[in-house]
Amino acid sequence: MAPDPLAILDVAALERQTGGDAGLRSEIVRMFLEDCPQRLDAMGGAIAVGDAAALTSAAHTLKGSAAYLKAATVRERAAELEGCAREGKLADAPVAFNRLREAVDELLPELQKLSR
Amino acid sequence: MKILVADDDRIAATVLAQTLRQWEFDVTVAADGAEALRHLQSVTAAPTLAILDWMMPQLEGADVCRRVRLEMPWANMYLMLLTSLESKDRVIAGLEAGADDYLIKPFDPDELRARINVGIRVLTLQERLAERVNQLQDALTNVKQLHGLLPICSYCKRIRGDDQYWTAVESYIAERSDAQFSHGICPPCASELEREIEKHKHRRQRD
Repeated sequence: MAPDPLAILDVAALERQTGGDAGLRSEIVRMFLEDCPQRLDAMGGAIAVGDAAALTSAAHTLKGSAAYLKAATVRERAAELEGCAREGKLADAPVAFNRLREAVDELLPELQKLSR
Repeated sequence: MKILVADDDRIAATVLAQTLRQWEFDVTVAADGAEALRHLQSVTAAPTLAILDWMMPQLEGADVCRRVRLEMPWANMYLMLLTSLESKDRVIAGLEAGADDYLIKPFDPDELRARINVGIRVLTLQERLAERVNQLQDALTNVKQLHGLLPICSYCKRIRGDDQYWTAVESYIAERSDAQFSHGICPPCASELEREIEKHKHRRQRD
């Protein structure tokens, strides 16, 4: 089944969140495109060394950023990963991390379209 | 109105700060809880509204609330905590730590505006009450200054102040209270004065 485009990125909701300020929308899209690779690297590193606190923090921040961008799937999957890390279920983290990466891979091209 | 925004996620901080600036608030952004606390410690005189993310490095939002209430119990500050939907169960702990209100991330602009208006109403009310208390305090101080034993000259009615100078009774009271004097002559003194004038006239006619 094809992913729901609104779940990947709800542009109308993002428009409402930013109060119709195109400059603000561009700025946060640019920030997300800059920060996201570092956050994913931090999560991968934290899973590799079993650092639950670092994984919780990185997943929590990505979850918050995705929530403001109205990227529902990335938000949900970051929340799942954060939940694994917070509860110390690091054995479940690699699967949750891969699901998150897949969602991010779907989101980034949509954000790049917006930033053009 | 000054508003402090504290969030270690720069996207969340930017959206919140920019939304508040669109509404013409004077916004300062702190990147973590320790920076937020330092800022709040430096603005104790002015009414301040702060929107603090719960989960931040160094000091969490709830810890900032606790420290502000403990260290600055009289500061006129309205503290709002930001929490994610999954952490809504921590709201009670946040309010008990000293927060006045909370918002779920990502905030809804209309709800944010309404809750900020509540905060401004509370801050304004507290500021007016503080002004009123100061006015009453000043009034009480003045009343106190007019209490006690006052050395007064039985002849000229001057009063000796704490500085040992003798001052006319009107000046003494006017300096220590909101009372002001309008000068006139009372009926007994007016009669006395008339008699004096008559006596003076007779004396001149005789001479």
